[in-house]
Amino acid sequence: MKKNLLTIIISLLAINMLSSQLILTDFESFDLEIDTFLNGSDGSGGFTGNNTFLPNDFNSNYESWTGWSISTVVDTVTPGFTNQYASISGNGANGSTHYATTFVSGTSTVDVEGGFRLGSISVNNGTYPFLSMLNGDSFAKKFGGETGDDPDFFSITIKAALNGEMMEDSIEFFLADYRFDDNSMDYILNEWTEIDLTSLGFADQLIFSLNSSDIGAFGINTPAYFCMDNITLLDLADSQENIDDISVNVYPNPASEWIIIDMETQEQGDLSIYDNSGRMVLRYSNYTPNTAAAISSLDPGQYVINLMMKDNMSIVRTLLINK
Amino acid sequence: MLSMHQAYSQLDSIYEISEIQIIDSFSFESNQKFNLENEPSIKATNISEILNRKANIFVKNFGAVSSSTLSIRGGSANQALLTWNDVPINNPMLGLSDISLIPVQLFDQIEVNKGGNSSEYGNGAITGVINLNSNSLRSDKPISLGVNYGIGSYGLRQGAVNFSLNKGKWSSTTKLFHTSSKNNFKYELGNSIRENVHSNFNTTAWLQAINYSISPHQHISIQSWWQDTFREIPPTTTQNISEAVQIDRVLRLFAEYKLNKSMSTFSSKLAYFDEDNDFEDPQILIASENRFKRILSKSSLSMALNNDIIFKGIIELSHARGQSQSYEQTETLSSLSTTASVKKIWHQSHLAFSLRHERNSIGRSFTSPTIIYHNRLSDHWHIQAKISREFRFPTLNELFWRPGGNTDLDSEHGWNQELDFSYNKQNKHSITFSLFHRRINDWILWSLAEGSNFFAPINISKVRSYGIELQGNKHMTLGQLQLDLNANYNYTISENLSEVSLPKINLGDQLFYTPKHQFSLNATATYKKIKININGQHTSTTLGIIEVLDSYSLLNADLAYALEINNHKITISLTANNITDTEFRIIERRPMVGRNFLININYNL
Repeated sequence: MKKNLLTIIISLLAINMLSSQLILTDFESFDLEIDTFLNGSDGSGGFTGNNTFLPNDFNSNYESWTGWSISTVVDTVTPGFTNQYASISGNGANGSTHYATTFVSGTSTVDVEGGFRLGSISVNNGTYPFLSMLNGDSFAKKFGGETGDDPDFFSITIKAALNGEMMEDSIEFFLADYRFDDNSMDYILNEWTEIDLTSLGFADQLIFSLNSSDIGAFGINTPAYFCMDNITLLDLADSQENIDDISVNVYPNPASEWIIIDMETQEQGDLSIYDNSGRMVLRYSNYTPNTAAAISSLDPGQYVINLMMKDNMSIVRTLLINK
Repeated sequence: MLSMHQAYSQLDSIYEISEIQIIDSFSFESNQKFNLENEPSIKATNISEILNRKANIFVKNFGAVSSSTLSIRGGSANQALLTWNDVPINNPMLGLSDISLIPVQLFDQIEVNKGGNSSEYGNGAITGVINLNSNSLRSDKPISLGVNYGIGSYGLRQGAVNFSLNKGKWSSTTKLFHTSSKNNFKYELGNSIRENVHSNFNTTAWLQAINYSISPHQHISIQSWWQDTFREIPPTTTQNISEAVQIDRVLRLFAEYKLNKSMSTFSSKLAYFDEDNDFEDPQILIASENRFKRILSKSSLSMALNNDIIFKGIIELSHARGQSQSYEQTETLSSLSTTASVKKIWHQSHLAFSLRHERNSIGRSFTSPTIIYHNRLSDHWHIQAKISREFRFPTLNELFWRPGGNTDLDSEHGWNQELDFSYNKQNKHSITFSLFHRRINDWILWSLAEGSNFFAPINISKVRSYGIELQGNKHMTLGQLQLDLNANYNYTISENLSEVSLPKINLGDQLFYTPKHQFSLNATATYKKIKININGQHTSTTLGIIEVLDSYSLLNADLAYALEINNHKITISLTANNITDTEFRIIERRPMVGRNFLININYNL
């Protein structure tokens, strides 16, 4: 993780400040009635978004598929394989209707056409793996195991590649985490959560793999699915001209109780703070520059702050918290 | 008849299985026979306990009331063949038999024949054959009646009726059996106690046999076996709820004509099976219906020349039709096999050679030779060596299941070698020492190919199995007290000779769920009308597909009291299983029942 943060810092020092145009793939453009899905049975080989392509391999002999599907399935209560397309929230991110579901056989990939700086994705558990982890099934265990104390987890490892070469950095995101000493902190994700991918830098492919503590000779017993929505890419070309025109200062840095982002503008934006594993730990949805934002709840350490303005300009800085 | 019998005394009015070791008149293969005819109050509700405790066969039990399959000499479940009156009854869709569905009360005798038997039985008899015999013994009485009722722990209720009529050339036997159980036992989970729920089981079975003797040398037997089983599948130890149920319906019909002459025997058998296996899980919206029909005919002719040469020929036809929602259409599989055997007998030794050729309708064929040499070293010592080539054709599911079915699959095949030493003295002391070695190529495993989301059978592995089997028996008489001791030890290595990525199998890994060490001890004391049997078992650790399963030791005991008033025989018995209340598992996450009891009363006229 420290290596990830170092990469972020070096990147940020080099770029100093970015503003960019967001390219969003939210799957809403797919012509799909509510509670249905596209699983590649038309032989299309995948699904095209804005500068993204989600591959699908459909086996017409067996009507099975791997890779990605597009879903509007709303079923949050039916366990098992027959409900493999649904997200556990019954919708997409931010209350939308469309989202993507992947069955990960080894890896699932998303092609970023032309190559872009990666922004973020939103992920959620599918109903099938969520209920399997919650209650167990005939193949997979309920998380916590027989005693409730098993340190189970189900996580996505996200990597990026450029020109066919895999980058070293990766992001691990936990779809379920039962490793806490205090069992009351155990969780299985059941709402859409944004993952910041900016630490992965510039890439033309995203690679997803799944890990689970419930594993045997046949691989992961936990159903190897997750749901994804709102892929954002950062188009640097459009924003490069603004970089030198804006003066931004974050102080105090190191900080302990609060920070102020000093800018010429008073335009509100979304302020997000990420820890060194890439997990968002604090968010102010309508932060006004030049006002104090409390950060006292954060533990000492290194963080990355991202202020996303309404004109899609993104400002990234590192932050050190001492107490 | 060149045979060696060893019988252990028993009160015929109380339950205990008599064990006989014989050398079969043709094949010379040592086997075990467990006579049930005179054991009306047999405690076991299925044959798992007999095979496990008496024959030291590892039974892979998926938990209380769940399926059970056989592992003989380190082989897979579909490499062991279950037969009824010598006709194969393995499910042609799965290639195996669920022995939890076999009520022993329907049969006269169970034969256990370990080792390669492909040249005798063909497809799927790689590691051994278990024969359920309902055609071996007939009552001499004009009318006989047996009624049995048992009450056990966790809602176990079982009842059986056995009614026979003999008149002239005709005889009829009717056997009815019903059992039900709740199986709501409790087991420990960490610091808490959990009750096994959704675990009801009931089965009803009816076996009808009608025999007609055309002449002293000619006999006809017609039999039917109907059975209906319902079971709820309980949740695993890491599952909150299960709503799954399984229903099995079986109709098996069997007819045999047999002609015995002084120097020859002819037998012709015809069998028809119609079996349903339905699985429903409303919780996950799955309902699966699987059904097959199968017709088999098996004819054999044995002829002796000059009392020292025996010829035997067998021709066997089979046609199976399988229906499943997971098949594209009704799938069929037919096979034709011919076997020719010759045995030469000398004063102290015998040599037999068999050759079987079997071909099926999807173009698989296999020729299986067997050579057996048996020598009587002394009055008490015998030695037998056997080399055979074994095979198993792909099953209907392996060929046609969607997704995954693979019509390009090859047969599993390989060579088998066995060496048996036996010592027997006046049927009071006996020791059998067996060595075996077997290598099976093109072992079929269901594997998840990279980039695929379904499992498919692939000829992916090679497995070498070898080991030692020891069996010792001792009978003692001390006044009116009779003591019988029986001890069995198996050492089995079944190692993978090829690395497989999914499932993850390393070179040299022991096969999943295959114990290296297995030990059983049976001690029986009979004093007048009282009989006590103590059984101890030990099974070493096994490698499961998720984790290593701990070794376990079990202790079981039976106490029986028999009384006879005029011609009325009553036997009361008490059985205690798993006396030490040992927590153990054979499959991960599938709890097994702890200490449990059964009281049984039997009436015989």
